[in-house]
Amino acid sequence: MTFRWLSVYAVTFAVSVMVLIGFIGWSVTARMEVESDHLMHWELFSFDSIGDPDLLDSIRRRMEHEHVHTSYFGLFKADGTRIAGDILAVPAGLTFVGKGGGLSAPGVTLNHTLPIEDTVPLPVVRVMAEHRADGSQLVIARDLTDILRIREDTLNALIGGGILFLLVGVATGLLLSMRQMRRVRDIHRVTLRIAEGDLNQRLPVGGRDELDMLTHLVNHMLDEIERLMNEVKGACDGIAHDLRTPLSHIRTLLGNVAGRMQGSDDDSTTRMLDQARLETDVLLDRFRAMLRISEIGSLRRRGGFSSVDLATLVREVSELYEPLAEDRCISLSLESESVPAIHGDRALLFEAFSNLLDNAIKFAPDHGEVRIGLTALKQGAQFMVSDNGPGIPKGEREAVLQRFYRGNQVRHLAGSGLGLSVVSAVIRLHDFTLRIGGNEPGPGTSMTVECWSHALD
Amino acid sequence: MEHNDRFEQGFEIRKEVFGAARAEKSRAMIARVLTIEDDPLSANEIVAELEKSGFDVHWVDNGTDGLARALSGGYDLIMLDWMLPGLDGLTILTTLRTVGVQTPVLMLSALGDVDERVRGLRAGGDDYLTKPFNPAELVARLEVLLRRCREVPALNVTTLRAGPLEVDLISRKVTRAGVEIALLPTEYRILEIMMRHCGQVITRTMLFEEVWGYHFDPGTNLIDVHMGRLRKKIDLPDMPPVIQTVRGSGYIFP
Repeated sequence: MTFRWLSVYAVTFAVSVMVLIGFIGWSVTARMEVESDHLMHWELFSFDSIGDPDLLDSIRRRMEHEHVHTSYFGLFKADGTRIAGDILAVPAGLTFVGKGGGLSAPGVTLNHTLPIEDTVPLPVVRVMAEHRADGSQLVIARDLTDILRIREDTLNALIGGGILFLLVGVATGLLLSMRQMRRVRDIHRVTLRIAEGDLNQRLPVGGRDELDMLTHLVNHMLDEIERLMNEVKGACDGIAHDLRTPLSHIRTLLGNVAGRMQGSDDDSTTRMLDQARLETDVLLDRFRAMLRISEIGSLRRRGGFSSVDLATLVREVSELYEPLAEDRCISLSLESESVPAIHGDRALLFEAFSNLLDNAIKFAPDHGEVRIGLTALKQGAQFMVSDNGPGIPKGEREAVLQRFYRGNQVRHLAGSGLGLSVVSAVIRLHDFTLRIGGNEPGPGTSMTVECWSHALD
Repeated sequence: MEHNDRFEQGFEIRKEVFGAARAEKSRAMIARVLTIEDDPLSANEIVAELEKSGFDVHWVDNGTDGLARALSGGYDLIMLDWMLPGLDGLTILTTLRTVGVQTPVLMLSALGDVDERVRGLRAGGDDYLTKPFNPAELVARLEVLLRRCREVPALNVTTLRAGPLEVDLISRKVTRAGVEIALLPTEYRILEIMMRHCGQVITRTMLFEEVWGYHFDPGTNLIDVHMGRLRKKIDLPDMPPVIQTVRGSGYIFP
């Protein structure tokens, strides 16, 4: 974009310079011709005042003064025979100034065609002529060579300078635009990171221009957003944290009461107590999961990262859940290709993959089918778990990643609704991507983890 | 509570297995536990629970006094909270280990931060528990820590025996009355851990940590299913299961 503007600017600039040069050249030439014409008019005028008998002498005297050959003279009879002067013949195409020295007729420029005595090569001259009273023709010419050379030099200087000017201009423009482009690219990269949730990042500053003013504004906004996010997160964590202690007290007390009830025959009270304890456990589990998600999210330092062999990891996950699947007569199959090792947190990935598999087995019907696949793609490894359960409607697929979300069709199943949030937090920490799709052509869900960083795209 | 009865029962059976003399000795030596914990409510719970399980518990509510008490010695176990007024848990632990106090330490923390666990264990902690915890879980872990330090580990043990069941630790073969039972690696690990800690309650979380080496809640009844598989292979029909379930806690190999 910037380059396009720069090109337009450069072309405009070049055209302006050319027009300027053309104008200067044209006006200099015109001015020089006018000046020569004036001079020659005055000369004719002065010759006019000399009587015919003295003319030859006068011409000879004038020519003796002309050592540097800036002016040439020629006096011819009416039939064109040379009488005096160094111009050898009357050139064709001359316009003659009327008798009496009227100054209306302009001179004519002759390019190397005026024959002159003893001069080779012939110069470029401005020629003017008049008919004298006795019918003879007086021709006066002025050498334009010096003036032409000055004009040429001026034009050359202007063109050379213009080209240099243009080059320097374009180069500077390119440098400036590259610098801006680099800054924009830097800003783009940082914004991507921020969009991924890394609110610690700030846009780079350092140009002291309009872009910088904008960057400062955005950075200030980010400071505020981060502060608010931290406040909200702190409040959430604080609530989860503070509520856990009294909840665990309640759980203990309920346990104690249940212990005392052991001897009595009050079955319904015992049942209610059991139910109450179960509910407290569910609450505690949810708090624990919430804190865990927030903890994973804040694991910025990747200290726990090392080289992870996904094939082994996936096999372990599959072995861990195999008895659970068998228990419900679900066929669990594993297809694993050899994939390159990735950089990650082994324990967290194990937890995330376990969670996905746990979900798949949970939602698959008895005698159902759950498939695990690890594929080597061009970009990296891809982990996939698919089941033939009820599936997730297209509209709900994004929502299931939110905390506490439970699909309408699965409300009867046990679970906190936080499992996928944990997965999502782990995936985000690794810069991986989680995709939720259907298990075409049948019903069901497929969960795909793309184990490569998308920030590099 | 029911599991405590079972627990006592476990102790009785253990007596038979390990010989009366040693059991008498450990019974006579009531374990002294130092609890350094600033929240009085949690502390009261811990004290009550541990006293119920037969421990002699001392409670200190700040880090400075806690370190002084711990240094004075005479404790079999120390329960250390991570966040404390005065000195924090990690500092106390590092100091203890630097001056050469080798008493087993169980770290307690409100947050199950992975890094915190690693730092705690690296500083010389022996186990780590996230609050709030199941009291049964706490007691089970304390028991394991206690036994680990009291009993000199027999290095040259190559077989574990319990009744007709025999586990060869080198060839990893399991036989019942001379007949080999084919076990999967996971099942073997579960059996070995249960037999190594015979007479002690092992919770599901402990089993998951020991066998799989991960520290999260696998949820559902995953561990039970694995245990069910193992039981199918090692139990005889019409006989009580070799590994018993302790309700509300975990499993015990009596």
